[in-house]
Amino acid sequence: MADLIQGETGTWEVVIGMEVHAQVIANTKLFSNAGATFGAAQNEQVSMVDAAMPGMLPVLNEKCVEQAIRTGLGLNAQINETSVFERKNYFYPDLPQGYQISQFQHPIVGKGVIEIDLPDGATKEIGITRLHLEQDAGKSIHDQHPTKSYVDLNRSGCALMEIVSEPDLRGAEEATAYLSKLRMILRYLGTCDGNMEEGSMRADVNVSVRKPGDAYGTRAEIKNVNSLKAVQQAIHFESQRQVTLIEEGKPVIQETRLWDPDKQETRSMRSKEEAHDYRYFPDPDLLPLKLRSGWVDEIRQTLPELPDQKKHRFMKEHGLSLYDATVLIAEKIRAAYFETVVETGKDAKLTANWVINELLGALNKDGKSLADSPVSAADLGGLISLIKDDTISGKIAKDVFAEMYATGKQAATIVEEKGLRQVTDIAEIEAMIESVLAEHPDNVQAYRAGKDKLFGFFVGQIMKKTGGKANPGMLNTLLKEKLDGK
Amino acid sequence: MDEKTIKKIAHLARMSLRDESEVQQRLRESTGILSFIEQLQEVDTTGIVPLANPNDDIQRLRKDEVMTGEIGNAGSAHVLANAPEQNSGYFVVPKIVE
Amino acid sequence: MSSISDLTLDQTRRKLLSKELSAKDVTDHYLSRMEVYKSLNAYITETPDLAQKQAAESDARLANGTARPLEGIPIGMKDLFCTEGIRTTAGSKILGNFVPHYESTVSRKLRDAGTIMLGKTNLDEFAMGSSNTTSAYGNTISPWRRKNGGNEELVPGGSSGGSSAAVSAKLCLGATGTDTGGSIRQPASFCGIVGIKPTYGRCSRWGIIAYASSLDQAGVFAETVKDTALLLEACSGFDPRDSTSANLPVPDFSAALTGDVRGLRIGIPKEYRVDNMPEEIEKLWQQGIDWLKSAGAEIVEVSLPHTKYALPTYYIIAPAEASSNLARYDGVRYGVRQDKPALIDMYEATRAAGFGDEVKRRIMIGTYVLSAGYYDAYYIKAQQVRRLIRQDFINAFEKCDALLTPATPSAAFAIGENEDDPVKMYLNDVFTVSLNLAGLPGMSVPAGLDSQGLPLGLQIIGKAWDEETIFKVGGVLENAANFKAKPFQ
Repeated sequence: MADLIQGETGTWEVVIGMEVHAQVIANTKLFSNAGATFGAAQNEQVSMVDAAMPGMLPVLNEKCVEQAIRTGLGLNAQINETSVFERKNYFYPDLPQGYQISQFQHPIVGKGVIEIDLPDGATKEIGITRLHLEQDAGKSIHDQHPTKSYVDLNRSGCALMEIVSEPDLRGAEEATAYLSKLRMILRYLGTCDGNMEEGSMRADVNVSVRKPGDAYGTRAEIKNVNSLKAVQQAIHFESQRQVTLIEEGKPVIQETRLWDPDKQETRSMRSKEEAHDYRYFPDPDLLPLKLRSGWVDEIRQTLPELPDQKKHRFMKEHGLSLYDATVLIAEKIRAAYFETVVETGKDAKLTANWVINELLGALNKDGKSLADSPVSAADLGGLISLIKDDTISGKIAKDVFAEMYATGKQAATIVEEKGLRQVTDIAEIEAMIESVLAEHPDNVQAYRAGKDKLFGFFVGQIMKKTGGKANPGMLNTLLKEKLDGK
Repeated sequence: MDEKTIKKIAHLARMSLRDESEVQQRLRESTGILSFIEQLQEVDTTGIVPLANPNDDIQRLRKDEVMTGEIGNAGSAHVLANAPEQNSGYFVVPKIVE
Repeated sequence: MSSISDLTLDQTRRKLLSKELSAKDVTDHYLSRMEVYKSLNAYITETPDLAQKQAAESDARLANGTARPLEGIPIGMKDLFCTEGIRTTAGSKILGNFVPHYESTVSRKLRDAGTIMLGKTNLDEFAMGSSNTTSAYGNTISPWRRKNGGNEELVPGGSSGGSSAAVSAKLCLGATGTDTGGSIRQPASFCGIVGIKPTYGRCSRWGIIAYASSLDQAGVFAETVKDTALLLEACSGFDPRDSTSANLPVPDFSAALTGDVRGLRIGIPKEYRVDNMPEEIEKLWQQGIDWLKSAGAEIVEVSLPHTKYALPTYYIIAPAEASSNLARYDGVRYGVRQDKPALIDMYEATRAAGFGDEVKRRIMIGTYVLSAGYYDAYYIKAQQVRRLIRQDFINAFEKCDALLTPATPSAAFAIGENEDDPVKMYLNDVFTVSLNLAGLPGMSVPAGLDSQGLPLGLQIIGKAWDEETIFKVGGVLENAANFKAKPFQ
């Protein structure tokens, strides 16, 4: 699945590492009791601590630490008993303290690993380098005034987890697969809502190229990559740019570059960072974070079943294909829905088809999420039961489902009200066959003379007579007997 | 330490230097202080763990509860009360050039 | 009849409780003294209206039996403690218009204990200095004069020079201070009063404008050891808003003043006998040792081998932390802004105009020692030596219960002296600074006069969280020294 670039001097491999900033789900900020939710009026979710008023001091939010540990466990990572908050010093109007409190030398989470799913069904392990906690900055608004910028500190001090991967990704496809899997894990854990559009998950992409087998090339860090699509586009552009540079004999410079989605290109931010010297040092207002003994294990006990565990269980326990399992575990709520349907409907494979093709298809068409589904899991299970016990055919079931989706009624009710119960009486079906064959003697003749395709014509005619209620299997068998038997 | 360093440090600290004489003054002072602190180099600190705070053995975590007032949502009126320039609930600064 | 201002804090408290005096009498008396001695410039901001309002409340409480521990006691508040609705400057131009919407924990505790705030006392800018001459609001002048006939104005010490001068000149009965390298003990010594810096973490730092967070600690000044015990007890205690505040009960400090030091082991650190120590200081120190010995204490010599490295260590750590702590004064959210069309120019002009020379010096050094390539050689090295210094004390305290040293290497100097070389000024803290690095409590007790009739203090150093032994030893020294000298004489 690796992205390979055919250059003039041969084949190049694209090497990607990711730095993801994930907003921690918590009620309050990392170091103050101000609210951390979205949508408040400007500067209404700001404490004197967040505004860095003189004499204000940070006090660490227990919940944020717990969320970082939980995430670390979900990434199969080492949890560090002691970690240290440091100050990263620089001036910016949306950084009130003049420093960001972050973790630098001693992060709370060390090395881990996750498995990504590739489009061809293969999986690959991607190393996690570290996860650390840090403060978000406020927001600067530049379009309100010709010569001024406006500053809103509502986000200032909210907790972020920075999750850094090893340079294990080989191109755009793997990079997006990684982001999707990471997002899924965070959502399963309930530690980040993973909403890239709203910025609650933001990615910086480190891109380099090399000839396969060579040492890593010089990397560029691409910022402002705010969607999966942008990640792909930025990687394609940047890797090609680097190959061209190298093949022209020019060096790739280690630098930060900005993705411009309008121009579809990356451009250097060197001018901004050349003067940076962040002067990290341990924050003297915060003592080293030492996790109380037993805490990590307590959190481990409360971990949900994670996507990959669930995927493997679905395949093993329910006999699902990798594809079906992968689709069903993509959201925790979707997997739970599926399992509830299976409890009632007792047929996992059939349930997978119905959930994936019918239900998700319909919801997707209406732009609805599963949480808003008009058909409950128990009711879909009811429909599947009716298919299983031959009360209705699969074809009729689709009509019943459409009715359920539109009205919220239960399948059994619809079947009764509309008289959709399947005809399974042999004599009744035989009578209908007789009558249709009698109506079309020429076609019977032609069929028997070898025009096999007419079989479908007869089925159609009979179904029309029964309003589609004839059991299709029985109809096929009996019709064939009648046509061939004489 | 030299004049270039002084200028770089002053810029990092966002303090403009009035003129060449201030550069010279800062250079003189800084050099004096640095030579004073230089004597630390004679201490053997092999294997000594740095001590960032004398109370490095206590741990403070707080509950995740939204509050109002100084350490919680303080209200934009209080947050902005001392602002040199504000508009519509925002702090206002000279335009940030990206 | 003796004047109200002849009384100590504790004596005033008793007379208020027995209704021989009213809080109004006391407050008005001190407010009028503040008028008379305005030229000392001990206060940056006077708060007479607030004081009178508080006095009325105190009188009501004294009348109806709901008096709090320090009901009706007028105090000065170092202008580094944020006070709600009252301008708080940190002695800096950059905060010249800053009015906090919050009250520091220490000032709130003192207010809740019934004290009356007379005003905000002068200080070195952002508490950086040993002379009070770096204040943007003018020098505080010590009420003391040399008896050589000259009339040179002397420094009250620093950084809490406004507080020490105000207590010494009886412009209040007690005052708060902060001590980062000696900023309570040195001015107390210079002004002939008692000053105590408790253990780091004993008083909350919440609402105190930060200089160097791992060293800053609030404390108090008063005329007597007992008075400081009463004040410290009122302003100490755990604060969940300060991550470095200790969750320990506050002892009854004044109960520690038993006058009995029999059997206590007093350590004398030999490294404090520095080169060129003035004979007067040496003599005073020996005097102190003799007093304690004759009171029944056991004197033991101890060693603090890294003492000479304390000052250079301090002058790395403190500026490093300060350079970062003072980054928030950027003209965006509060403070005096210099308007410029470009953001970076606004920053640079605001900070260049808002900070004074000493603050700039320390920001420059602090920025430098943290910058790429120098961090390990300076900052990490200093933190390592800091641990060695703390370990020295831990080792010494295995042999003794408290240490006795001089508080300062000299008596107060004249305004303008020591200004030619920053390092010369820094040497003022040579006996005090290692306590801050180790987080230990220390007190300066007036013990004698130099040949010019200027006060000299002795310093008592205690184990972490053992201020009680300091008060005990301080009380005994105070009795033995019988220090009666007053300024303006």
